[in-house]
Amino acid sequence: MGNTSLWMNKKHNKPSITWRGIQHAITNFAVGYSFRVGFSDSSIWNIDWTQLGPLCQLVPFVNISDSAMCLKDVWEDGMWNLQGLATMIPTDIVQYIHQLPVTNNLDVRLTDAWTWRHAKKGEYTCSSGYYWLLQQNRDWNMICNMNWLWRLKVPSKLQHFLWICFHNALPINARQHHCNMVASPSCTRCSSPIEDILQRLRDCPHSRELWLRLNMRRYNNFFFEFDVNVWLHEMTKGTSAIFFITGVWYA
Amino acid sequence: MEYGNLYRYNDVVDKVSKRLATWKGNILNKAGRACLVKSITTAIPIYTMQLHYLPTYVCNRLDKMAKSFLWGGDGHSQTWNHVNWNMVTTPKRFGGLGICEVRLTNLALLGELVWNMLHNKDKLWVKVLPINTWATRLYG
Repeated sequence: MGNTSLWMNKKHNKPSITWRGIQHAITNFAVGYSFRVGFSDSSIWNIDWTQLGPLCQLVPFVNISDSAMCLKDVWEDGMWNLQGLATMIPTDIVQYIHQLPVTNNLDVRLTDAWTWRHAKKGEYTCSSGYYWLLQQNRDWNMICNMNWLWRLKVPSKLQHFLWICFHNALPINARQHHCNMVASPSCTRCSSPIEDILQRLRDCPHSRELWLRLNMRRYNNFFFEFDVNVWLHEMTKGTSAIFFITGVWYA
Repeated sequence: MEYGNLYRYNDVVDKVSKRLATWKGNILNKAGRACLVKSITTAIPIYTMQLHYLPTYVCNRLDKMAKSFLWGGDGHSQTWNHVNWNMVTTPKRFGGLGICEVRLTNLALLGELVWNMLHNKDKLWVKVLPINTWATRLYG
């Protein structure tokens, strides 16, 4: 069928919709594949395993004694043993081959194949691909672990409320003032000059009264912790997390 | 069909916007809205996205609807988004909400085709493809 198949619309010189999609995917995912040497008899020269094209096109000539060489023959102890070949391979290509990403789990049942490097089994799945793409595009904090928040046994509206508190995104006056949405950053309930998140949830006299009634003073540092995230995390650890979170909701 | 026609994918956008109706946003709280957005904007376009590389315009519109519905309870109006969208789309483990971004989902689904071309060579559509052409494009 060649290049003039129905997939390549020669008339308009534009690819089909599907082929265009595949092209985009190829440019994005080609980096994530690596080669795995198995025990099948694929020739070094004829198949394109280096991403440069078939090797027989890159060398001046293939020595007759090497023509039956398989990939498993030149792969020894986790290294490419190219010195043993009688064929002259250009040095830059040899260097390139040594740098190739190779998966190093030899198994009798496996065949020579390209594998997806970012999944445990080496098989591409949509979720692993999506996760990999996301990692390329975001720089999140790998140490940060928010699972504790989603594992809390509280109604999910409270979880989301905590999540918003955690990102310092409550529509309180200090933030709204920062965005030029209200005239002054002061608290509307008490006359505190700045209404920030801790002031609103804990230090405002109205909130403080609630906390005192809930007898929150029994926790160390309840009124003395000055980092919101640490405060929220510490207080939700105990058995009375539900009290605390509901308190935050109503404070 | 015209190539690059922006209106080709209008049915996808319409389906999503119909599901994210205003009245639903008004009766749901934030947790419910996040859940609805997750199940709607990431599920409905999947059928199209398996084969088609959606135009950026369509992706942006779908993302915009998700954002707007999440924060304002309406799929169309402008809203004050309290948390950065990049943060919202990170996985829950790393402090986001785990909502899928449309463009990346699209690419991940198309990546499945690449995998099939490399490994399931018996499939009819892979046989029909001009193999020599795609090989040179992939590694050339």
